Amino acid sequence: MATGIALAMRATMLDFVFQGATATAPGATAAFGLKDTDPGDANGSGTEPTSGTGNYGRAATNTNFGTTNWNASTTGSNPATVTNKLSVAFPTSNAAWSTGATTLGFFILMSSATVGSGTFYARGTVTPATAVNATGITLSFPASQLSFTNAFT
Amino acid sequence: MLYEHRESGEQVDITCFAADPSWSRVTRADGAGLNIRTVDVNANWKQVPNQTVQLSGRADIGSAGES
Repeated sequence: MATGIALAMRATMLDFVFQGATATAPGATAAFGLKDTDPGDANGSGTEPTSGTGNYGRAATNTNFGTTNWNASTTGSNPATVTNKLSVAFPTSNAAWSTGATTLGFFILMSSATVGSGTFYARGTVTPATAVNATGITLSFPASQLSFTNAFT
Repeated sequence: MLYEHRESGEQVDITCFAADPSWSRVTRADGAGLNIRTVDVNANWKQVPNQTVQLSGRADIGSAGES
């Protein structure tokens, strides 16, 4: 599996517990991008489609952090899970996003809706990995289909 | 617009150039394509309606799945 929270945030979480360090919550803005291969734990790999190519852009509606867009985490069971309350959709393609049948099998959670910008928060897998190689395709995560599970044991 | 050949099922995407609407680009599913001045879509082809692909996404934190 090639998923998880950003490398930098792992240290922040541990220092919060063991060092008594102050952990500052991320800003409210959050957006999802897509990548063809594993972004890695610092978002240093994988390729995100080019902004505007085929109308690609990050999904930035119903994504900001807060109770409006995200269900509270489950308690009393392992793993704890957070899911999206509302549908999260990418812009409808008006041409191919990438050459040929390149599939997009990973998402990145970022602090910015601008492709190529922002702080990297987390990455995960997308099922099914999908190629956007034509016009008129809308990729969408329905409510509760984006999940972040925390299984610290 | 996406079109599908009625017999073979092959799909091609026909996109009009915004800068010069008299030209279009026809692209196959594998990415190969060419620019064409006049596109005549005959009855052997049918337009494919817009489609929404429903995805699920998952990130595992703090487990053996995280790397």
